[in-house]
Amino acid sequence: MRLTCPSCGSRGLEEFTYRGDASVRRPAADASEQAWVDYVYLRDNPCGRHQELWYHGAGCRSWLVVTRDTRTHEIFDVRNARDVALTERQTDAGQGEIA
Amino acid sequence: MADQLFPVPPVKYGSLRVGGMTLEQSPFAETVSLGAFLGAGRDELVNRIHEMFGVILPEHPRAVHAADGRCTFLWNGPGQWLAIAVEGLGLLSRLREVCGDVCALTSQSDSRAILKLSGPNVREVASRLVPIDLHPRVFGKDHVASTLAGHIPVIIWQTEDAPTYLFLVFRSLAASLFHDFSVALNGLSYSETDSCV
Amino acid sequence: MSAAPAQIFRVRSGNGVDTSQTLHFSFDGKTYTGHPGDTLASALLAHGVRLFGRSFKYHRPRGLLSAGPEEPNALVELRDGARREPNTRVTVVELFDGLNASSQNRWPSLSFDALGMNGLFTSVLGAGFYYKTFMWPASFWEKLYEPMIRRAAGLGRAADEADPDLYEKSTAFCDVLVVGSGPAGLAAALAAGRSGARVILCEQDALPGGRLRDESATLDGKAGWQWAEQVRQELAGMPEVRVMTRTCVFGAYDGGTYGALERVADHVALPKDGQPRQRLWRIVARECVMATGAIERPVVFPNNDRPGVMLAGAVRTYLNRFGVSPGRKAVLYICNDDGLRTALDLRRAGVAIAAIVDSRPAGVGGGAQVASQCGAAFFPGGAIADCYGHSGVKAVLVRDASGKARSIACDLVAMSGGWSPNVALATHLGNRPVWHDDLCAFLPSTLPPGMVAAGAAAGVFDTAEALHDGAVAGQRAAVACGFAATLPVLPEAEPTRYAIRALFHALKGVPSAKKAKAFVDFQNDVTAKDVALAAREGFVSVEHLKRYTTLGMATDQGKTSNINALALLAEITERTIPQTGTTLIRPPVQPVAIEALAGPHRGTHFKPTRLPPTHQWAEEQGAVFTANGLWMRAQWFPRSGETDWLETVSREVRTVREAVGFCDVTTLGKIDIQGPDAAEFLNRIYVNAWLKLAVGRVRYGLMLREDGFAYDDGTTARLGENHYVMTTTTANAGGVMAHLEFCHQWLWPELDVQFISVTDEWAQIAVAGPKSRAVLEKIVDASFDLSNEAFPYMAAAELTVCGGVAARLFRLSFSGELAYELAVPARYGDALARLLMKVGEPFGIAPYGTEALGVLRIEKGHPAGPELNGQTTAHDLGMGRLLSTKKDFIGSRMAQRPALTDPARPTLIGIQPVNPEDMLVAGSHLLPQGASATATSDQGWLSSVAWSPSVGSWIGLGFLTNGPARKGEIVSVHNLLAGTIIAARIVDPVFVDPKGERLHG
Repeated sequence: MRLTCPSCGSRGLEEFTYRGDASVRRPAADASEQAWVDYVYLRDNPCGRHQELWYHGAGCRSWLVVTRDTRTHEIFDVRNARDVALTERQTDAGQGEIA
Repeated sequence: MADQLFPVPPVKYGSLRVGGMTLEQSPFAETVSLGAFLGAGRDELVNRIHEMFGVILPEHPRAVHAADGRCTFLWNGPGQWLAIAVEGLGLLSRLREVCGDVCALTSQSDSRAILKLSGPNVREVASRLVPIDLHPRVFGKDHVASTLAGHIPVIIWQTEDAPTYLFLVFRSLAASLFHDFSVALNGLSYSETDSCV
Repeated sequence: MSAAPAQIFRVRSGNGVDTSQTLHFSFDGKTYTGHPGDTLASALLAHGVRLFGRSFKYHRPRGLLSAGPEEPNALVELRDGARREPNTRVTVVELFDGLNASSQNRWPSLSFDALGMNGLFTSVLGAGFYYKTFMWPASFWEKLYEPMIRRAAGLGRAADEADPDLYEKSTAFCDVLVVGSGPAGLAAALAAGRSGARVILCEQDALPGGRLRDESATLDGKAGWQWAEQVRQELAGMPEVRVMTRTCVFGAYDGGTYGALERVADHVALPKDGQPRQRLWRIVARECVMATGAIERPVVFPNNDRPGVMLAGAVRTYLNRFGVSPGRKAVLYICNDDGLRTALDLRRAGVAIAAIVDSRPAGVGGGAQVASQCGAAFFPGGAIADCYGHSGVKAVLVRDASGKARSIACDLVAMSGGWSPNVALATHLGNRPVWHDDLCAFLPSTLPPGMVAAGAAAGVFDTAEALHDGAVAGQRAAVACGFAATLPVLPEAEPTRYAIRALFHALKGVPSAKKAKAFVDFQNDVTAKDVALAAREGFVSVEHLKRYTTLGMATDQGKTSNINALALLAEITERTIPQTGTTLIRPPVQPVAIEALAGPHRGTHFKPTRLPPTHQWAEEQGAVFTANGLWMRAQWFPRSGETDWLETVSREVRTVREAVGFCDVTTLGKIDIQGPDAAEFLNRIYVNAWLKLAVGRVRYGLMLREDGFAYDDGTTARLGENHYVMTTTTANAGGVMAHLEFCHQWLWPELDVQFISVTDEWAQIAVAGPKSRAVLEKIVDASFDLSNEAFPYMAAAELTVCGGVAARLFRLSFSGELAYELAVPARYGDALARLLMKVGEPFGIAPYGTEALGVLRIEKGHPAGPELNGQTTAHDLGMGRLLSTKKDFIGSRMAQRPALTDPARPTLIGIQPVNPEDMLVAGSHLLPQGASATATSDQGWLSSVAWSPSVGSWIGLGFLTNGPARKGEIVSVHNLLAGTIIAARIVDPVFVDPKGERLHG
């Protein structure tokens, strides 16, 4: 399998490590224990498109959000996790203002 | 007493010549990593490096050379660069003056050994260990890449059009990498069936 | 050895053989001759050798079935000693001078095999015999059944010694990968190559051309192989085209990645010095033209495995390419016009054709005409009902369309059940091929992204059409990569006719079929009866059939058998072939040696080695080394007169406690952390508080995982307002770096912090012992005040040493003694060790290794790897109080779970045997005295032990339920491996200087 790192280009699987579901978000410190248990332990195992975190550890050390078809390993999208996280924060902040 | 702390290179062998190709250890260089701070830090860093060194820090895996030719900046990840200069120019202190407030500066002079691979067919030799496309349509002079050489993380930097590669490798792994390249060099030079593209 | 017999079956010159040179080789101890270009198969066949091996289960005599990599029968042991290679297909072994091969699976000799009697016990060895026969009693399996099966059934013997040859790995990239260099592949490579695209053409054979070398048909009026040579030369002149012969593309993987094996030096006696034997390629291609040709199918008829029964196309290969006739008098058994070419080629070579048995009804195909041309009897609508001759065909029983049978003498049966496109690569990623009734073949339907099939692999069997198909595929592939490719002018090919009618077996209405063996899978000895039996027993799924009968599961992966088996099963179960299904083919297409997959990563180079800066010096000191992850570290430094390691280590420990020792601790992970939010970042990473650490001070930090369990620990020094340097354990250095990157990039991208590894930047040496300050005073520059007041415990400073060398000094102690860690740029590490030896000599300095380091830390009760084992909490480690309740940090929430803070959890304790003579062993379990040795009585375990020179007995660290409250209690220490139980006392984990006075001295 190959992933196209936004910074480094197309690279073989051996440069990356897998972390898992990129759709879960770290709960607030005071969130319920159930929310934390969900975050730490519970994962869906979807058949089809899956957003997941990969680490380009043998390359530019970027964490990536990869959209992959779990059946075919087709890769639809690769983004820097940092950009995804920052965009989410801006969006959240924007929504906060509107509210 | 300073003479009692003499420097020892990371690889004890000198250089290796096989089939007109050379594998050698480059002399010590002064290497400094730059990591841009948030906010205006990054733009400010780019501006100041441009002012002082006459060069735009690359956004992609490339090497750019300061206008005076005495220093090179290598892309080293998003918002990160490695500045490399020959020893004795006081690169770290110069950078501290120029941009110490807008980026993290960390000496990497002893972190990395630099192995140089030059001569005909070095692209073929490199392909034994490096899993990225080194074809001139894809990877040319002053392209750099953070990748693997076999199992060893390296930064590969092509310094000449007729490919000459520098491999920046963690000092502790330099001897292993030297060995791995020596095997690849020997394998290529004796092989009848290799057609070198 | 006897004199080489003449090559009496070399009837003409072959297009692939250079008869001007003669090579000598031996098979089963007998010497033969051959020529460059021969395979072991063609050279032996030239001498009239027909018997090549014994079959897997029944030990039946077997000869050549094919002329290519699909060969199921003729497997030999090639070479000898450490280079002995079992199960080598003689059809792909290129002949070289001095080649040595022997047949396998026979005892005592190939022509007389004692286990040939297995054939008499057919009922025992039928389908599913593994599952039925050897079920019970279970104790018989290891002692009786398995050795028996291994001797009786089975293939060659692997070498007993390590492979002495070198293997390489390599990566290549291209726009267009063309697999196979037959007419379609060559045309594809030409079309793509001329466009300027980067093309790799892989050919498993030594020569390009594919079937063009095997057929007598012409292109533009010249021999087909001449065109292949001409194209090869043109391709060789193209700078962006790489032609790789002897290279089998064995697998298709995700993302346009292909695995290929190049046989660099398999065709010579020995690789040259430094030359790899084989090279494993990973080829990354944007587009791929699969021009892998087709594999001819045998026909299933009684005793179809007699030596001399051969695929019709293979007969042409031996004739045209090698100039060897596989027999003197042939019978053809065909169901298509392609097979008729064999009759014509044999005739031209002067071989008699006794009969042409054509399963098609009269009037279909060109059989009648060819038969009359060849002077052969013609049997339209006929079948071969049996085959005679124990170790080689002597006659066949031919049944004509009316059912009348007659025996016809012959020594060669050339059969063709039609051609199966070689679709393996197209199915590796899970795409199922689709059955086409008109071609009697599975063809690829959906292909992996970027792949297209061309030529015979796509069911295009006619040469002219295959050339065109390949050219179009090559052109389109190049265009898809952005190149302006055009169709090349192609040579004129002779028209061909296929006209196939399905023929899978000849068993209907054959009286002998009930008794005789009609083989479906030659290599695994699976007969038509086995298939029927499996179906009768309910194994009607093709996947079940395969596993129950072992059909298609031999080293040839059923290349010649799968479709016949499927057709038989379909017929028995009264289904169509599409209804019956097909199994997917897995990589590798051809066997790949484990050595090739390992490449150069073998032995000590299995993984790279990291050497600390003092390695060479330590070697000179005679240090004994140990692997610590990738690192090679000095374990201890023996001195002359010391009798064992314990004496050395104890001396090193005493040196530290009484004088001064030093140890290279460069291997600890060191991470440089800078930025306005660096303190906040550390505060969220570590369990304890970091915001108030002063510049010039060091603090111990513990990290948890998000699940609340301890992850790693170390010290972090604050070197400047926004500048910290963190240390991690050696083992977790890489993991902690990835963890920090994760937290920074994904969890808290708003934090303004940068970090980079400085593990290799600094040679860090621990100098420990009451006299360490005195030694360091000789090294640090005079301007620096080392006094306890100016540089107390847990102080850190950037300073200069030896007259201006930049350095860092940390007052840290893992040993519990007055101690420092001095860091100098790594290039000076070697010299620093030498200097410490020199300036420390008056103080009795000695280096110590990781073993003494371990003893010192156990004596001081410091947890390390065995304690931070991923299952312990801060509370378990006695550090529960470190957990800040005022902030969010990684693991903070989950660490609060009741089960993780339960005081009954096993908690860190020290332990000391009641009898000082008793030895402690790590991993032992702790039980209350007198309790039975059961899991319910288990209250903890010993994690680290050492013989402590300071205490004068063995001591240990461990975890015990309610541990800290049980100091003074005596427990039983069960070593379940050795079966020993000793009594030991629970003590404080700090065995030396519990008040910590020495640290602060």
